[in-house]
This record gives sequence, structure tokens and C-alpha cells, in this order.
Amino acid sequence: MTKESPVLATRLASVPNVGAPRRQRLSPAVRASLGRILTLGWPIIALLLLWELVAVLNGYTDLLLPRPLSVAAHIFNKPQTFAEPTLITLALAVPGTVLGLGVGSGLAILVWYSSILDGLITPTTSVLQAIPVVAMLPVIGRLVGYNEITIIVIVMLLSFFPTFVLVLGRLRQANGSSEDVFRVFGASRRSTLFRLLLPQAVPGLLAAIRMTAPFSIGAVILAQYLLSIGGLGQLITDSIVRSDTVTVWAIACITSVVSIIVFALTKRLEDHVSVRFK
Amino acid sequence: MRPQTKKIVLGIIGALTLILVSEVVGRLGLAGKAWPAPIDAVWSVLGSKLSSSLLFRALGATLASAGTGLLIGSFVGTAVGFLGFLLPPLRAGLDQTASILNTIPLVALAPLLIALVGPQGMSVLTAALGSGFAMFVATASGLVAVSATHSDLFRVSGASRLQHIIRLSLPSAVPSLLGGLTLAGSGAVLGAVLGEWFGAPTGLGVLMISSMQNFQVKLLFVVALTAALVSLIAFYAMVAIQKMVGKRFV
Amino acid sequence: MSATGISLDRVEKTFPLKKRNMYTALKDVTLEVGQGEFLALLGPSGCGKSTILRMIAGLERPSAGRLAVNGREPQELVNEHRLGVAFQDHALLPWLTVYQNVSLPYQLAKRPVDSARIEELLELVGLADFRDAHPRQLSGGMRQRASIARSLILKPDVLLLDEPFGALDAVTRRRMNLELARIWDEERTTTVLVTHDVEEAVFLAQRVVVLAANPGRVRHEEVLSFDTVRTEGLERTAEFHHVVDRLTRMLDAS
Repeated sequence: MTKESPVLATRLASVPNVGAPRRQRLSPAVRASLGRILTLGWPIIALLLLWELVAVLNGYTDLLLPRPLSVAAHIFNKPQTFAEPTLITLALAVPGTVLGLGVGSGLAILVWYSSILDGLITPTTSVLQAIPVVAMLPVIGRLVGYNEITIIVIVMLLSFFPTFVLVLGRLRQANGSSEDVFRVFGASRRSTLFRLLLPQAVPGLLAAIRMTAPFSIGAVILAQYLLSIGGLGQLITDSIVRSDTVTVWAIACITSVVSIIVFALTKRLEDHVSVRFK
Repeated sequence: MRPQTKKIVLGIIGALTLILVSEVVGRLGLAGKAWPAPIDAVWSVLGSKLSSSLLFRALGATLASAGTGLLIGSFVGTAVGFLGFLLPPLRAGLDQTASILNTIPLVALAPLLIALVGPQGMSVLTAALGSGFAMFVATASGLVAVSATHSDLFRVSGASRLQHIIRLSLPSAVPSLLGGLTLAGSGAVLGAVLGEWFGAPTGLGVLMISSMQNFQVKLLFVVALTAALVSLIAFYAMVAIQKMVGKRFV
Repeated sequence: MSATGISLDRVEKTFPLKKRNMYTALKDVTLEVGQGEFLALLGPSGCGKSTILRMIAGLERPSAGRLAVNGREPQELVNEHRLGVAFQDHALLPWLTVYQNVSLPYQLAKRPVDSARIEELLELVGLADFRDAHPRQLSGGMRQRASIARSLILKPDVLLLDEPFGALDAVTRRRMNLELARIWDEERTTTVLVTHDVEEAVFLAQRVVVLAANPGRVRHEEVLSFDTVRTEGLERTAEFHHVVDRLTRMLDAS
């Protein structure tokens, strides 16, 4: 069998030169991607079918349980209903996350710089890290007010803790031979930080982005829902009050898709950029 | 001073400073009326029979949901992870779906979930989801974390697939499972509190919302503190178990 | 071809690489290991010596040629639990004690545990006092001794050693070689040792097969018949040094 494989390999290699018909060359690719969709997405397909089946078998109207197609049609027919709230939600998620990443990294660098600050802050922070930040929403709402700043603060806190822990972890990890090399060359603390440690910390920061950015959208919507302040969250509250079930389901689908896209993008960013710094 | 002692002393000073600053801010009213002095708040809530019984009843409800959710979630998450291990064709799909489900915000799923279990069951379900995902990931990655030489050894020794699973894959998965439990514990508490925001009758989450709306800042503060403490205790209890059991398996 | 021992007949092993290329790890390897013989496979890294061992263990299959152990497929011996193996990584299970680790092959073979045999082997490898210790409490050398005890526990037809002392320091390694020679003298199992250490190969084996790389092939065979028994004194003889020098030059040239 194996004796044939070089022959088989040459035969396969010669296929493009022969100039096979386009249709035949395409179909294995199509089949391969169909196979990929099936192996990766079978539970999603199963869920959609189950959803449809439950709705049809029980004879539910759209008021009780809208069917997947009517939800899709609803989004397609009234894109303007959803576009603005989605943009508002995203517009709050981005600055919150960026602030959290900035403050977390900044504090991590300060802690790396000063051992006293390290001793004072790190133990408390690592304890506080286990506190469910999102559950503290009512406290922050009461404290800051029922407004967008509350939302930004909660998103900031959400990304702050992982950023601090991950970036500090990477900064400390460098404490090894490469830092010794810098010391032997007589590099200043400052240039060690900029030339060695900050690049070293990039994967930590990227991991923090991947871990927090997709969830910041959910946090924003939850805050908007709880405090009734605009965006997709308020639209959920309003639609529930109006018994507009289709809209509620449409929001659920939009939010899911946006979160998954953010997850996929941040994951890709991490995979592509991190390798260069490791 | 030894570095270890210095570390502990600095850590305690840091924590005390945080408490002291929040106390001073509260006493002087620097952050407005919504920031109570923590010690005063704890004292007055626990001192009042009405609010303390309210707090403990809510705590009991949340603990019950979180505990039930943790049990269900851990069981289902572990079982699904194990299923993916036994039936490799399903694995890629399960991994993908689990990470997608975990990414989808709870609030987006809320209408569907409420339709499934009603508002009362929400907190158990969200607690189960919170812990179940952690346990699924821990199981799925733990079962394949078998070292290549161990695997070779079992193959050369003529071990059956069942022996391979029971004597090698399962024990190899223990550290990962214990790591998953530390996340599952606090995940269940968070899930229970968030689930209570969707129409549960009692619980810390409900009490938080009602005291927020009624401007009972002291009660709100103490309830939040309780939720945080429960989450911390759940996390560190699991870490302690991990340290006790886990070192035998690595 | 003898019905006992190990025989490789024009064995070839190729691995697929990216873009449909094939990498030839071994080409035209013909080898015989007699019953009760201690053979060492010596070669630079990448010469495929571990691949030969893995094929004898049934972990890989030859791409071409014939490979038989006692005249049969390696997998048959594996299924009958008649192979013993020790790797460079000791591969002890961290959650079991030394005693439990050594008795693991009995459980995998579904045979009653012969505790007298375990005690005897633990005595032989000098771990009798550590039977209830866990691997992490042992030194690197002790772990390898436990691993070798485990490989011998079922009195295997064939013992395969894949650089078992490769991760140890030079001093411990020498001591372990002395002990392995003593243990082998008692058990007399058909043994294949893979190593890149010339002295280790010459000290332990009755025959050394030197391999060359790219593609892996047999370069030289050296039958060792020292007058001296294989104890400490052997390493100081001129004859020993002569052989080691010659094989080392051969490795350097390849």
C-alpha cells in the first residue's frame, strides 16, 4: 500500500496541470466545507431544528414561540429597529473595555516597578478577582447613577481584573535569563521595560481582550436591561412589556451573532499576533 | 524582615487601607449618599431584626439555587465532556458549541430560558450554565491531557480501551477537573444572582434590585458584600480542595 | 529467519510531510536479535533508532519490509502482554506508589498480582525501602529503576529500552548502567537498547549496531566479546577503550 503512495502523490500533484474541469475541482472543496460545517456545527443545526420542531408541533403562534424563519424575516424587514440600539450597545462596550485594559495594564506596570505597591495591591486584587463584577451592577448603578457612565464603569471593571492578572503574570515571567542579558548589557530599568517587558506583556493583554471583549457586550445589555437606559437592553424590556416576542427573539439572535463575531475576531487577533511575542 | 513576612504584612496593610478608605469616604459622605460607611452599614443591617432576617432568607435562597445549579451543571458539563471523549466525531462540534454558548450573553438567552423553566427556575438554570461550561471545558481538556509516553506505555502493555480510560485518562483528568471546580463554584454563585434578576421571588439578586430601587443603600451594600463573600468562599474552598487532592495527580 | 528473537527484513519507514512530500526515516534496515541477546542500537539523533524500537513495540508499522518478533506480529505479543518497555521519560503514574506502579502490568494483563515477584524485583533494583513512596518523592535515578522494574515484572519475552538513562546526569548514569548490567545478568531477557552514548552501548550490549542518518540505515555491526565480566573493571580495560574510540570515530564521520 505504502509503496504506491509516492505514485499516488505524483498523480495527485499532476492534477492541476492536466486542467480538470472547474466543476470537478470545486466539488471536493464544497464537500470538504460542508463536512466541516457538519462536524463543527451539528449541535447548532440540531438546536435550530429542535426550535422549529417545538414551535410547529405545539402549534405555537409567534406570540408564544416565534419560529426561526419568522425571527429572521423580522430582522430583515425592520433593520432600522435594531441598528441603532446595537450601535449604542457597541459604543458603550468599546470605551469600557479599552479603559479596563488601559487601567489594568498600567497598574500591572506600576506594581512591577515598585515592590511596595506590589505588596500592597496584589494580594487584595487577587482576592477581589473572584468577586462577580456583573452582580455588583446595582451597587454601581446606585453609586454612579442610572446612566451610561455606570455601564462604562462596569465594563471597565469586568476587563480590569483579567488584564491586571494576565499582564502582571507575563511581566513577571520575563524574570529570567533574558532579563539577565539586559542587565549584563547595562540596560536601564526604563529601556528594559520598553524593549523587553512590554513586548513580553503583549500576549497577556491579547488574552485579556479575548477573555473580556465578547462578554462586555452582554454586560452592557444586562445593565441597559436592569437600569432601563437605552440600547438593546432597553429594547428587550420594552418588547417584553409590549408582548412583542418576535423582537425579543430577534435581539437574542443579534446579540448572539455579534458576541460570537467579537469572540472570533479577538481569538484570531490573539492567535495571529501572540506568536510573535512568545 | 523575611521576604515572606514582609509580603504578608504588606498584603494586610493594603487590605486594611482599602477598608479604611471606603469607611472614611462613607463617613464623610465624599461619594454622596449612595456610598455608606461599610462598618456602619454591616452593623445596622445585622442589628435590625427585619433586615437581617431578610438578608439571611435571601442568602439561603441564593445558596440553594447556586448549590443545586452547581450539582446539575457539574454533572451535565462533565457528562457532555465525557461523551465528546468517548465519541470523537462529536468532539469538534461540542467544543465549538460550548464556546459559542458561553459567548452568548445570558440576557440574550433569558427569554428562551424563562420559557423553558419559568422565572423561579431561572437562577438554578443560570447557575448550572455558569458552572456547567467550566466543567465541560475542564473535562474535555483534562481527558486528552494524557502524556504521550504514558499512552505508549499502556499500548505496549496491551491495555484495553476500558483500562486506558479508567487507569490513565480519568486520573490524568483530575487536576483539570479540580481546576474547573474552582471556576464552577464562583460561576454558580454569579449565575444564581444574575438569574434572580429575571423575576425570581427571593434571593440576594432580588434583594439587591429592590434595595437599589428603594434607595436602601446600607442594605444594598451589605447584600452585595454578602454575594461577594459567598463567591470568594466558594472559590477559595475549591482552591483548598484542589491543593489537597491535586498534588497527588501531577 | 529464526522463530525466536526479533527480525527486521529490509524494513523501511516513511512519514508524510507537508505538501505531499515523504520523509524516509529508515531505509532497508535488516537486523536480527537472537533469543536472550542484548543488542544496542547506537546512532546520532534523527537516525531513526527510536523508530525501530517503536516498530518492535507495535507502536508504529513499517512502511515496507517485514518485522517479526518470535516469528509473529509485534501486536500479537503486545496483546499477550509479553513486551516490557522503559522510556527516557520514566512514565510512572504520579498517582500510584512505587509498588502500585510496578504491579500495574499485572492489572493491565488481568493477571493475579504476584507480590513475591514484585518484592523480589524491588529488591533487585534497590527500591525495597521505597515501595510506598510516590514518584515525585524519588530522585531521577530511582524513578528510572522503578520504571525498569515495571518493564521486567511480567518476565517479558522482549525488553525494549529507549534511552532509559538519557535524562540523568553522567555520574548517576554510570551507576545505573552498572546496575542494569547486574539486573540483566539475573533476568537474561532479549533486550534492545536505544542510545546515543557509545560507552553505554559498549558496556551493556553483546552486540552494537551503529546507524547512520538521512535516511536511517545500518552502518556497522560490532560483536563484543570481552573476557572481563561487565562490572566496573571493564570500563578501565584497554580493549574497552579501543572499541569505544573506534565507534565514536564512526559516529563522528557519519
